[in-house]
Parts: sequence; C-alpha cells; structure tokens
Amino acid sequence: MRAVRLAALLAALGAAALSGPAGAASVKLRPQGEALTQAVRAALAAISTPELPVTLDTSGGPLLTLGGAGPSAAPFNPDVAARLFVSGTERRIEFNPRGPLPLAEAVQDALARELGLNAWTPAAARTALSGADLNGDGRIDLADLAILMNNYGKSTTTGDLNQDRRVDDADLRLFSQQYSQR
Amino acid sequence: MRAAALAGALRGALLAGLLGLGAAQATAAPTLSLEQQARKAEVIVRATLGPPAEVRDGDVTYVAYPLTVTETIAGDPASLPRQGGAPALLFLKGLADLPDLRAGQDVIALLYSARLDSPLVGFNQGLYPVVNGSLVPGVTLAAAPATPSAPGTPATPAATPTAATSPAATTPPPATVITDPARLRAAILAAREARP
Repeated sequence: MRAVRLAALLAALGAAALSGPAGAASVKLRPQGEALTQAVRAALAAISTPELPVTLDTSGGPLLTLGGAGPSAAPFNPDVAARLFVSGTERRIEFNPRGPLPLAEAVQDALARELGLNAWTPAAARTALSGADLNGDGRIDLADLAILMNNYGKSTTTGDLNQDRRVDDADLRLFSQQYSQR
Repeated sequence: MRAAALAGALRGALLAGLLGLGAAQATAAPTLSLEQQARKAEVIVRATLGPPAEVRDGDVTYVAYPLTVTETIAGDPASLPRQGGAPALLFLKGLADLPDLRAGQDVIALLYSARLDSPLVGFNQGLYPVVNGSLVPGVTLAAAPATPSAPGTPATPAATPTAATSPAATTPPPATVITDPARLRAAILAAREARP
C-alpha cells in the first residue's frame, strides 16, 4: 500500500511539472463581528488578483476577535496590535482595540505573519498562498500532506488546492511549492 | 528528471518543516528603539527571576515570575503586581511569542506597572538578559537620536540609524553594540532625561 502511494506521489510530481499555476486560494479564518469581518475581507481583496483570487473560508482556522474574552480577558499591552492566544487546540488572534496600529493595518500585519507572507502584496500572496494548510493549524506540514494524499484522485474539496473539484497532480505540485517556501 | 528534482525539493521542504522552520505566529507589535522603550517604561529594574507560579484573576490565568530586584533604574518596583510578597512579572497564560524565561535568570526589564497580557514594554522587547555579567545578546544602540513615531506608524528599529533614511545622508553612522549592563543603564537614563 505504501509503495503504491509512493509511486502515485512520484508519478503525480512528474505530471505536475507540466501543470499550470494555482487558480485560486482560500484562507481559513473565523473573524468575529462586522468590523473585523470587513477588515479581513478588505485585506484579502488587497492581495487578490484575477489570476489568484484570495477568498475567505470561515469553516476553520483561527478565531479572530476584537479584544479578548473569558480566559484571555487580560488587558492588552499598549504596544501590541494583535496577539495570539492558544487554549487547547483553539488559536485566537485578538486585536487590540486601542493598539498602536489602525485596525486595517493591524489585520494585514497579523495575517501576514499568520499566513507566512513577507509583505501584504499580491506578489507575496502568490508566493505564499496555496491553501495547502489543509487542517487550518497555521502551518503546512506532514499532516497536510497526509490529508492531501488521502484524497488523491477523488472529487472533493479537501486537498483541492486549485479549486477545480479534483485532487490531482496539480494540487500536489502546489503543495510542494508552498511547502518548500515555508 | 523533473520528477526527481521535485521529489528532492519536496524531501528538502519536508525536512525543513520537521526542523520547525515553518512556524508562523500572528503577534504584531511594532519595533521600538531602546530610546522609545526607555521613554515609555514606568518601572525599570535589574532583577533575578524566581520560579513561576500560576495566578488566577477571575477567568484569566497568569504566569507570575517573582522578582528579586537588585537595582532600581527608574520608577517604583512597589507599583508592580505582586506575587508571594514580591514584585512580579505577570504574563497571560496561553499567550504566544513571549520570551523564554527561567528561574534564576538575571535581567534588565523595562516594564509597565499595570496587570497586562505582558508587562514588558514593546510586548517582549523590553527584556535584556544578563549572562555572566554581560548582555546576551548584545544591545544595538542607534547612532543618531531616534525620532518618536507618529501614532499608527511602526517605530524605527533600534538597529537602524535614523540618519540612514535621510536622502541627504551619504554614509550612515555606525550603530554601537553594547554588552555592558552599565552602558545600557546609562543609555536608558539618557533617553529618559531627553524626554520632551
């Protein structure tokens, strides 16, 4: 079984070298509240291009909130624009309502760090975004590759990095590109 | 050939991931120069950290490091939150991107006195570990006076001399890296005295 998977992987890599670039990217984030949702959508619009539209997928990923609550209700350090709070398996990116940056700028700064973009530009998005963080844990790793390979050859959205409703060699090539750039 | 190259690239990338090079964190705090940190700080001390303990405040849990203050550089350490009868550094438990702290560590800390997610000026920038009498790593002092940043504008990095950004400047003056805690203390006090 493992040999079959490996053969499929290598075959896919070979075929993928002939494939084209990504057609779209979705970003898994869960912004809470109208102001934050609008800020996130505006930020994603700023890095979208017709060649690589970047869309918001609210089905998973870190929770984005304005301020903290419950176990993270501690006042913000005045010098921090956004902080990352981790509780169990949940990750929360919390924005300082009275922070040193305007909300739009803070969102771009925090999301650039979260998504691994070296700048909030379409070019950086093309380099860094492929949707390869399939489990939405903020990193692209072996767990994501396992998810992709489990869906290889299927007509499904999980692992379908170029959003053509099929998980195939093109998706594997995108995964390889994004993994090597992290 | 392409398959072999891609497979090699994938292996290399997987290795990089296994080494932890792919982590991304979302904490965003503009860089502050030492001068800016010194001017913002309410309390500045040299102290030794005690063993951490968890402190509950309603739903919020903090990790508290009691301080044995060996020198007060500015402000009143008594205004800091207290743990076990001593002034303490309190950090929100679960907060990412905090500095690596341990009991027995000797530090110079630039602090806010209120109970916050992090008491360090600049979120975690205002912490300068002292190891065997030297600052580790060394602290880079800007060669020219730092310009206070406008609200909403990221601050000038400490390692970037202000004059280097001026079109008229031809050769930026060299920055100075110091390892002597006494020189850091002097730089901090000079910055505070120069406050407008």
